Amino acid sequence: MDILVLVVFLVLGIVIGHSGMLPQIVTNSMDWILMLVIYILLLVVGIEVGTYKEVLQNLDVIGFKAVLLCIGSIAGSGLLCMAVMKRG
Amino acid sequence: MYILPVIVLGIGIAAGFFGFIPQNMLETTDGVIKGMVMLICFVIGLDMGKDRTLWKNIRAMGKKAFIIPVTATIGAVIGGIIAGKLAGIPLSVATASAAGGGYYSLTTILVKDLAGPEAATIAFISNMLRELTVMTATPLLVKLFGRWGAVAVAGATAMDTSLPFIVKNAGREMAIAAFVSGVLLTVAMPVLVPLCYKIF
Repeated sequence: MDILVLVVFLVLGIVIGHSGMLPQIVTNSMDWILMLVIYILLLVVGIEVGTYKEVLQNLDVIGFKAVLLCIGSIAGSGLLCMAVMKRG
Repeated sequence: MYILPVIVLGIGIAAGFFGFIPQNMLETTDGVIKGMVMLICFVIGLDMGKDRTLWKNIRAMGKKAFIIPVTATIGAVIGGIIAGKLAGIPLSVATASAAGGGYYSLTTILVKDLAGPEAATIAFISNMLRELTVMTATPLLVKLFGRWGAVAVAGATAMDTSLPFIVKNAGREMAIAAFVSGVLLTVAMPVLVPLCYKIF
Protein backbone atom coordinates (compact mmCIF):
# COMPACT_ATOMS: atom_id res chain seq x y z
CA MET A 1 0.00 0.00 0.00
CA ASP A 2 1.24 3.46 -0.80
CA ILE A 3 2.49 5.21 2.34
CA LEU A 4 1.42 8.55 0.90
CA VAL A 5 -2.20 7.39 0.79
CA LEU A 6 -2.05 6.50 4.49
CA VAL A 7 -0.48 9.88 5.35
CA VAL A 8 -3.23 11.68 3.41
CA PHE A 9 -5.94 9.82 5.35
CA LEU A 10 -4.19 10.50 8.68
CA VAL A 11 -3.79 14.23 7.99
CA LEU A 12 -7.33 14.47 6.66
CA GLY A 13 -8.55 12.92 9.91
CA ILE A 14 -6.49 15.29 12.07
CA VAL A 15 -7.68 18.37 10.15
CA ILE A 16 -11.34 17.36 10.23
CA GLY A 17 -11.11 16.32 13.87
CA HIS A 18 -9.43 19.57 14.87
CA SER A 19 -11.87 21.75 12.92
CA GLY A 20 -14.80 20.41 14.91
CA MET A 21 -16.64 19.89 11.62
CA LEU A 22 -18.09 16.56 12.64
CA PRO A 23 -20.98 16.40 15.12
CA GLN A 24 -20.18 15.16 18.64
CA ILE A 25 -22.15 11.95 18.17
CA VAL A 26 -19.88 10.91 15.29
CA THR A 27 -16.57 11.73 17.01
CA ASN A 28 -17.71 10.03 20.21
CA SER A 29 -18.47 6.78 18.42
CA MET A 30 -15.06 6.73 16.70
CA ASP A 31 -13.37 4.57 19.35
CA TRP A 32 -16.10 2.04 18.94
CA ILE A 33 -15.87 2.07 15.14
CA LEU A 34 -12.08 1.71 15.32
CA MET A 35 -12.36 -1.33 17.59
CA LEU A 36 -14.97 -2.93 15.35
CA VAL A 37 -12.93 -2.40 12.20
CA ILE A 38 -9.78 -3.76 13.86
CA TYR A 39 -11.63 -6.89 15.00
CA ILE A 40 -13.04 -7.49 11.53
CA LEU A 41 -9.54 -7.11 10.09
CA LEU A 42 -8.03 -9.45 12.67
CA LEU A 43 -10.62 -12.04 11.68
CA VAL A 44 -9.71 -11.60 8.01
CA VAL A 45 -5.96 -11.81 8.72
CA GLY A 46 -6.61 -14.89 10.86
CA ILE A 47 -8.45 -16.56 7.98
CA GLU A 48 -5.52 -15.87 5.67
CA VAL A 49 -2.96 -17.16 8.18
CA GLY A 50 -5.12 -20.28 8.62
CA THR A 51 -5.15 -21.04 4.92
CA TYR A 52 -1.34 -21.02 4.84
CA LYS A 53 -0.86 -24.32 6.59
CA GLU A 54 2.94 -24.10 6.53
CA VAL A 55 2.81 -21.08 8.88
CA LEU A 56 0.94 -23.09 11.52
CA GLN A 57 3.11 -26.16 10.99
CA ASN A 58 6.22 -24.07 11.64
CA LEU A 59 4.72 -22.12 14.54
CA ASP A 60 7.48 -23.22 16.94
CA VAL A 61 10.21 -21.83 14.67
CA ILE A 62 8.25 -18.68 13.84
CA GLY A 63 7.34 -18.19 17.50
CA PHE A 64 10.99 -18.41 18.56
CA LYS A 65 11.92 -15.79 15.96
CA ALA A 66 9.14 -13.55 17.26
CA VAL A 67 10.34 -13.87 20.86
CA LEU A 68 13.88 -12.84 19.83
CA LEU A 69 12.46 -9.91 17.89
CA CYS A 70 10.37 -8.86 20.88
CA ILE A 71 13.42 -8.88 23.17
CA GLY A 72 15.40 -6.91 20.58
CA SER A 73 12.79 -4.20 20.15
CA ILE A 74 12.18 -3.85 23.91
CA ALA A 75 15.90 -3.60 24.69
CA GLY A 76 16.50 -1.20 21.81
CA SER A 77 13.67 1.17 22.77
CA GLY A 78 14.47 1.11 26.48
CA LEU A 79 18.24 1.52 26.19
CA LEU A 80 18.20 4.28 23.58
CA CYS A 81 15.56 6.30 25.41
CA MET A 82 17.40 5.94 28.71
CA ALA A 83 20.72 6.96 27.14
CA VAL A 84 19.27 10.05 25.44
CA MET A 85 17.32 11.14 28.53
CA LYS A 86 20.41 10.86 30.74
CA ARG A 87 22.33 13.21 28.46
CA GLY A 88 19.47 15.67 28.80
CA MET B 1 -8.16 -6.77 27.52
CA TYR B 2 -6.39 -8.83 24.92
CA ILE B 3 -8.27 -12.06 25.24
CA LEU B 4 -10.87 -10.95 22.73
CA PRO B 5 -8.37 -10.12 19.92
CA VAL B 6 -6.70 -13.50 20.42
CA ILE B 7 -10.08 -15.26 20.26
CA VAL B 8 -11.09 -13.35 17.12
CA LEU B 9 -7.78 -14.14 15.44
CA GLY B 10 -8.09 -17.76 16.57
CA ILE B 11 -11.57 -18.11 15.09
CA GLY B 12 -10.25 -16.69 11.81
CA ILE B 13 -7.28 -19.08 11.79
CA ALA B 14 -9.54 -22.07 12.49
CA ALA B 15 -11.99 -21.01 9.77
CA GLY B 16 -9.16 -20.63 7.28
CA PHE B 17 -7.39 -23.80 8.35
CA PHE B 18 -10.43 -26.06 8.07
CA GLY B 19 -11.47 -24.48 4.78
CA PHE B 20 -14.76 -22.94 5.93
CA ILE B 21 -14.21 -19.92 3.72
CA PRO B 22 -15.03 -20.21 0.00
CA GLN B 23 -12.17 -19.45 -2.39
CA ASN B 24 -13.84 -16.48 -4.08
CA MET B 25 -14.22 -14.79 -0.68
CA LEU B 26 -10.54 -15.33 0.10
CA GLU B 27 -9.59 -13.54 -3.08
CA THR B 28 -11.30 -10.34 -1.97
CA THR B 29 -9.60 -10.14 1.45
CA ASP B 30 -6.58 -8.11 0.28
CA GLY B 31 -8.84 -5.40 -1.09
CA VAL B 32 -10.89 -5.36 2.11
CA ILE B 33 -7.73 -4.98 4.21
CA LYS B 34 -6.45 -2.07 2.11
CA GLY B 35 -9.74 -0.18 2.32
CA MET B 36 -10.12 -0.70 6.02
CA VAL B 37 -6.55 0.32 6.85
CA MET B 38 -7.28 3.65 5.16
CA LEU B 39 -10.39 4.00 7.30
CA ILE B 40 -8.36 3.20 10.43
CA CYS B 41 -5.80 5.89 9.53
CA PHE B 42 -8.59 8.41 9.10
CA VAL B 43 -10.21 7.53 12.43
CA ILE B 44 -6.87 7.64 14.31
CA GLY B 45 -6.27 11.11 12.85
CA LEU B 46 -9.79 12.22 13.76
CA ASP B 47 -9.34 11.01 17.31
CA MET B 48 -6.08 12.90 17.71
CA GLY B 49 -7.35 16.04 15.99
CA LYS B 50 -10.38 16.49 18.24
CA ASP B 51 -8.37 16.14 21.47
CA ARG B 52 -7.69 19.75 22.57
CA THR B 53 -5.86 18.88 25.79
CA LEU B 54 -3.41 16.75 23.78
CA TRP B 55 -1.99 19.78 21.95
CA LYS B 56 -1.70 21.67 25.23
CA ASN B 57 0.14 18.74 26.82
CA ILE B 58 2.55 18.44 23.90
CA ARG B 59 3.40 22.13 24.14
CA ALA B 60 3.84 21.93 27.92
CA MET B 61 6.24 18.98 27.63
CA GLY B 62 8.40 20.64 24.99
CA LYS B 63 11.00 18.52 23.26
CA LYS B 64 10.63 15.71 25.81
CA ALA B 65 7.27 14.94 24.17
CA PHE B 66 9.18 13.90 21.07
CA ILE B 67 12.32 12.38 22.58
CA ILE B 68 10.47 9.37 24.00
CA PRO B 69 8.58 8.30 20.83
CA VAL B 70 11.55 9.04 18.55
CA THR B 71 14.07 7.10 20.66
CA ALA B 72 11.49 4.33 21.19
CA THR B 73 11.14 3.90 17.43
CA ILE B 74 14.80 4.25 16.46
CA GLY B 75 15.81 1.96 19.33
CA ALA B 76 13.22 -0.65 18.36
CA VAL B 77 14.41 -0.60 14.76
CA ILE B 78 18.07 -1.02 15.82
CA GLY B 79 17.04 -3.83 18.17
CA GLY B 80 14.94 -5.28 15.35
CA ILE B 81 17.92 -5.29 12.99
CA ILE B 82 20.12 -7.10 15.54
CA ALA B 83 17.42 -9.60 16.50
CA GLY B 84 16.44 -10.07 12.85
CA LYS B 85 20.04 -10.94 11.93
CA LEU B 86 20.32 -13.37 14.86
CA ALA B 87 16.95 -15.03 14.22
CA GLY B 88 17.14 -15.08 10.44
CA ILE B 89 14.14 -12.81 9.87
CA PRO B 90 14.29 -10.65 6.73
CA LEU B 91 15.30 -7.17 7.96
CA SER B 92 12.33 -5.57 6.20
CA VAL B 93 9.95 -7.73 8.24
CA ALA B 94 11.94 -7.43 11.49
CA THR B 95 12.14 -3.63 11.38
CA ALA B 96 8.52 -3.20 10.27
CA SER B 97 7.32 -5.44 13.12
CA ALA B 98 9.57 -3.70 15.64
CA ALA B 99 8.28 -0.29 14.54
CA GLY B 100 4.79 -1.40 15.54
CA GLY B 101 5.52 -0.37 19.11
CA GLY B 102 3.33 -3.04 20.70
CA TYR B 103 0.21 -2.03 18.76
CA TYR B 104 -0.14 -5.62 17.66
CA SER B 105 -3.56 -5.58 15.98
CA LEU B 106 -2.79 -2.89 13.44
CA THR B 107 0.87 -3.93 13.00
CA THR B 108 -0.25 -7.46 12.13
CA ILE B 109 -2.69 -6.14 9.54
CA LEU B 110 -0.12 -3.79 7.98
CA VAL B 111 2.64 -6.42 7.89
CA LYS B 112 0.25 -8.97 6.38
CA ASP B 113 -0.54 -6.51 3.61
CA LEU B 114 3.18 -5.89 3.00
CA ALA B 115 4.77 -9.29 3.47
CA GLY B 116 2.24 -12.11 3.81
CA PRO B 117 1.01 -14.47 6.54
CA GLU B 118 4.31 -15.74 7.97
CA ALA B 119 5.58 -12.20 8.52
CA ALA B 120 2.19 -11.25 9.97
CA THR B 121 2.49 -14.06 12.51
CA ILE B 122 5.91 -12.77 13.59
CA ALA B 123 4.50 -9.23 13.86
CA PHE B 124 1.56 -10.43 15.93
CA ILE B 125 3.49 -12.54 18.43
CA SER B 126 6.39 -10.12 18.88
CA ASN B 127 4.16 -7.08 19.41
CA MET B 128 1.72 -8.86 21.68
CA LEU B 129 4.58 -10.12 23.84
CA ARG B 130 5.86 -6.57 24.02
CA GLU B 131 2.54 -5.32 25.39
CA LEU B 132 2.29 -8.31 27.70
CA THR B 133 5.79 -7.59 29.04
CA VAL B 134 4.81 -4.02 29.93
CA MET B 135 1.67 -5.22 31.67
CA THR B 136 3.42 -7.86 33.74
CA ALA B 137 6.95 -6.53 34.24
CA THR B 138 6.90 -2.72 34.44
CA PRO B 139 8.87 -2.70 37.74
CA LEU B 140 11.65 -4.67 36.03
CA LEU B 141 11.57 -2.37 32.99
CA VAL B 142 11.87 0.69 35.26
CA LYS B 143 14.85 -0.93 37.00
CA LEU B 144 16.54 -1.78 33.68
CA PHE B 145 15.79 1.30 31.57
CA GLY B 146 14.63 3.97 34.02
CA ARG B 147 11.18 5.55 34.11
CA TRP B 148 11.45 7.20 30.71
CA GLY B 149 12.83 4.06 29.15
CA ALA B 150 9.90 2.08 30.52
CA VAL B 151 7.52 4.49 28.77
CA ALA B 152 9.52 4.02 25.55
CA VAL B 153 9.17 0.24 25.84
CA ALA B 154 5.39 0.65 26.25
CA GLY B 155 5.44 2.29 22.81
CA ALA B 156 2.07 2.94 21.25
CA THR B 157 0.28 1.12 24.06
CA ALA B 158 1.39 3.78 26.59
CA MET B 159 -1.72 5.82 25.82
CA ASP B 160 -4.27 3.18 26.80
CA THR B 161 -3.62 -0.46 27.74
CA SER B 162 -0.21 0.09 29.37
CA LEU B 163 -0.99 3.46 30.96
CA PRO B 164 -2.27 2.16 34.32
CA PHE B 165 0.78 -0.08 34.70
CA ILE B 166 3.15 2.80 33.98
CA VAL B 167 1.38 5.11 36.43
CA LYS B 168 1.50 2.46 39.12
CA ASN B 169 5.14 1.49 38.72
CA ALA B 170 6.87 4.53 37.24
CA GLY B 171 4.91 7.19 39.09
CA ARG B 172 1.89 9.38 38.60
CA GLU B 173 3.96 12.20 37.10
CA MET B 174 4.77 9.96 34.12
CA ALA B 175 1.12 9.72 33.09
CA ILE B 176 1.05 12.71 30.72
CA ALA B 177 4.41 11.83 29.16
CA ALA B 178 3.22 8.25 28.63
CA PHE B 179 -0.05 9.35 27.13
CA VAL B 180 1.53 11.86 24.74
CA SER B 181 4.23 9.41 23.66
CA GLY B 182 1.62 6.68 23.11
CA VAL B 183 -0.60 8.94 21.01
CA LEU B 184 2.28 10.19 18.85
CA LEU B 185 3.46 6.62 18.23
CA THR B 186 -0.08 5.43 17.46
CA VAL B 187 -0.48 8.15 14.86
CA ALA B 188 2.99 7.63 13.37
CA MET B 189 2.81 3.87 13.35
CA PRO B 190 0.63 3.30 10.22
CA VAL B 191 3.33 5.24 8.36
CA LEU B 192 6.40 3.93 10.21
CA VAL B 193 5.65 0.24 9.64
CA PRO B 194 5.47 0.38 5.82
CA LEU B 195 8.30 2.93 5.77
CA CYS B 196 10.66 0.54 7.62
CA TYR B 197 9.59 -2.28 5.33
CA LYS B 198 10.51 -0.21 2.27
CA ILE B 199 13.79 1.12 3.67
CA PHE B 200 15.27 -2.18 4.90
